[in-house]
Amino acid sequence: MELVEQMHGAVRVAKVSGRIDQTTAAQFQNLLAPLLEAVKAGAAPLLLDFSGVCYISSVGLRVLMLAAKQTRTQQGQIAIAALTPMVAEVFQISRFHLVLQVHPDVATAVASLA
Amino acid sequence: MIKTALDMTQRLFLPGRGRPLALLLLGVLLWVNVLSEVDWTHRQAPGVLQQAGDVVGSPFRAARQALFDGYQKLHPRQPKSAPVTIVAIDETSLTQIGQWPWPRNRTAELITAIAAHQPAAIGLDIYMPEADQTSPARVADNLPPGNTALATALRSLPSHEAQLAAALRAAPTVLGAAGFDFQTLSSSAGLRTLPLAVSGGGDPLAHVRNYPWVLASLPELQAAASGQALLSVDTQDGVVRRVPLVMAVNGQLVPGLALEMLRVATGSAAIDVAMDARGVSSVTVADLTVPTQANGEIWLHFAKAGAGNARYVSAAAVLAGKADPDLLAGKLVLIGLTGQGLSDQRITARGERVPGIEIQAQSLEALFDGHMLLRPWWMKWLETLLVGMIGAILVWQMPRAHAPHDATIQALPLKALGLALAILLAVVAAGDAAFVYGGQLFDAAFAVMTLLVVAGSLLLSAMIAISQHHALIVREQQRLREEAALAAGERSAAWRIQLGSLPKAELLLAREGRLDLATLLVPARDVGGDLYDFFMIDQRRLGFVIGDVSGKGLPASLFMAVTQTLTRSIAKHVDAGPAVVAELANAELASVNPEALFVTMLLGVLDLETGLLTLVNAGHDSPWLIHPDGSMAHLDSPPDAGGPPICMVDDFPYRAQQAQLAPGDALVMYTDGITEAMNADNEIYGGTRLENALHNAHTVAPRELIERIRMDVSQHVGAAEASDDMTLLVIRWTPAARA
Repeated sequence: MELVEQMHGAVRVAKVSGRIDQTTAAQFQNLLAPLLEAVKAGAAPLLLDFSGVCYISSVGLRVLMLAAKQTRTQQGQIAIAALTPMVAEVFQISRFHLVLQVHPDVATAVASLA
Repeated sequence: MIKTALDMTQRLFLPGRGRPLALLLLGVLLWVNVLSEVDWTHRQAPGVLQQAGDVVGSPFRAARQALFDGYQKLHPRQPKSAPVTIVAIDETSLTQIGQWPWPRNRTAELITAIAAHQPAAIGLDIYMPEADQTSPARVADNLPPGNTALATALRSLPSHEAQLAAALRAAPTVLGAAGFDFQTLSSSAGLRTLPLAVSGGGDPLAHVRNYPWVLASLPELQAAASGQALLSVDTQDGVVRRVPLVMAVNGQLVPGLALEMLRVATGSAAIDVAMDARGVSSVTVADLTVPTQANGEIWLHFAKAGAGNARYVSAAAVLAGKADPDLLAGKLVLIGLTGQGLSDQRITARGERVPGIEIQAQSLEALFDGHMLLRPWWMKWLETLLVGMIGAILVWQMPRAHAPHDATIQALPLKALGLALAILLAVVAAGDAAFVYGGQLFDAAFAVMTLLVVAGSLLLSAMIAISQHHALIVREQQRLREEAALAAGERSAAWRIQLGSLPKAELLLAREGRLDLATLLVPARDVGGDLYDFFMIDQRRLGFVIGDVSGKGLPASLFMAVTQTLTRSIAKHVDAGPAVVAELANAELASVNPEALFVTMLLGVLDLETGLLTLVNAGHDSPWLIHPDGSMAHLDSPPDAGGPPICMVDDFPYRAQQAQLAPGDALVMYTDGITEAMNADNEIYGGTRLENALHNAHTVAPRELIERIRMDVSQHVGAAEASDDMTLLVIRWTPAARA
């Protein structure tokens, strides 16, 4: 799996692609860690662009859950956007919108966060 | 004891990849080699050091000698000219003329006969220290009394010595003498020779072989000859390798036979000895300059023993006038004894046994041809430098070739070793070439021995390191195997405990006719993160749970065990419905969750009298409700009911949903290990396949239903390894028929 970072105006967007499962979850967590460090009160909000993520398992959800907790503690803002159908289904069953803000696409998300 | 000794030896080889040890060996061997060639006769050294040097250096000396002898055997000197003829007093001569010693007048006749052919010089490999008893005067002395006339007549005849002296005087002759280290009856302390000229500063007497005594011919014979020379040749274990060109008798410089013959033959007035800082550097006679070793010796390059047979002439033949004139005219003639028991036999460096005179002849021939062998003073240092350099390169390069991480034989520095061998061969070849083309004696044997020892030491170090590393790896593998076995044992124990904690339908609900319940739990690894549970809350209500902990393996299974126990406990003691149970479980589990795991869960209560189902869906796959007629419904959670997985959101207000079961309805609950089971092509089993499988099994008992689903999934997955735990919980409500 891969993570590419870029700025969309005032919002830091991390485009994630690939599978997030037992084998790649640790890598995902490592790649995300420095970005999460920067999400604080007054700093740029972080948006996870999941348009390239085809699959996520419970270990991946756990990483996202911990990310949400960390940003909440740091009083920063985090959101996720552009879920693929399979990932959207997982999110729906797990009611993950209660954990992370979910947006249909990047543009809406950036507008909402800025 | 032996083991510790071996261990200690091994330890010597390990530090610094064996480099320090190899360098030490190199240094020691270089030093020992230098020591082995030191000429102790001219140096002051404590006896102990000398002896130590002898003992330790002997292998090098032996190897050097063997090598130089080898050169001689391999490349005998090819004589360019034949300047020497040997007039041999052989068996034939002794038979014809009589036993040795001959009367001196016979010897005089022989000399005169030879001189008639105008030889360049005549050398006598004979010394005559005593008066001839067959001289007329002696015979006269021995006559019985009463023969006065005969005695007087005899006394008037010239003595044999006088005759011999006359013969000696008339030809260019050289008399031989023998140096002695001890005094004998006939020995004297001086020799009558022309003084040798010394140049270059330095005293030859400090370097050349000095004999305190000499066994020479009678003074009147000495006075008559054109020159005198020492015939002595030092041997090592009976083998002649070096011939002295100059020696000393009681502090007086004396030439060897070859040099003196050349001087007399060329009519030169003197032999010049040139000195340098190390000793004798060369000797010169006429226009021939011969570089020598510091003690005035030269290494003799031997020709094949039989090669010179043509130059032997029998003395009898010469006396009879039957000798080939070409063999004598202009030649350097040597007269010597070759008869049985009379000649001194010597062994040459080629290992051939020859009479002593042959060695004198070959010395003469070698000098005449200008064919000299030399081991210059700097050769030893060149060898030391060369071997030191090559040795240092070996020490530097060889250990680099081996990777300590590699425990296989390929790690041995075979390439470096091959290179070392190639270098050694080159050194040996260079030594041979130096001998053949330059007449230089290069000690390749020492180079080979030393470099082999150094390379061997480095190789041994490498092998010991590899074997130790190998042993380490074997130990490590053994440890890992033990740990794995231990863990496996523990895991299977943990699995047995886990299994034990799962309720068994056939045991608990054997006599419960109002429902038919079946379960399946197949963990992906030895322990699972899935859970199911069912229990009677009271007489009419069945509580049940199915759950999936995020993650797999031991951490998930422990969390699963805690979750199961907690949920059951809350459900049994808090009679407020599954929603409250879910909230309480959420709160309680969060407090024992350092790993931040979460559990998807279906919590439900089925009223076995009424068929009312109360269900909370906490982030889990919705169950199927199968009707007896085959129709199916997905019991999705309405928007205001259910919630996220337990322990994902703190204090979430869970709400239950309700459904009314009809008799014969079956509730089928599963975890995503079923729907996401993957085959080798990474295709998941999927919800559709599950739906189809359920369609086809709507009439059968839960146990059978589960079996069919399991087989269907198994068929799909094939040989691929299970990626997640698979769990099924099927409950069919079978109330008693109402009247």
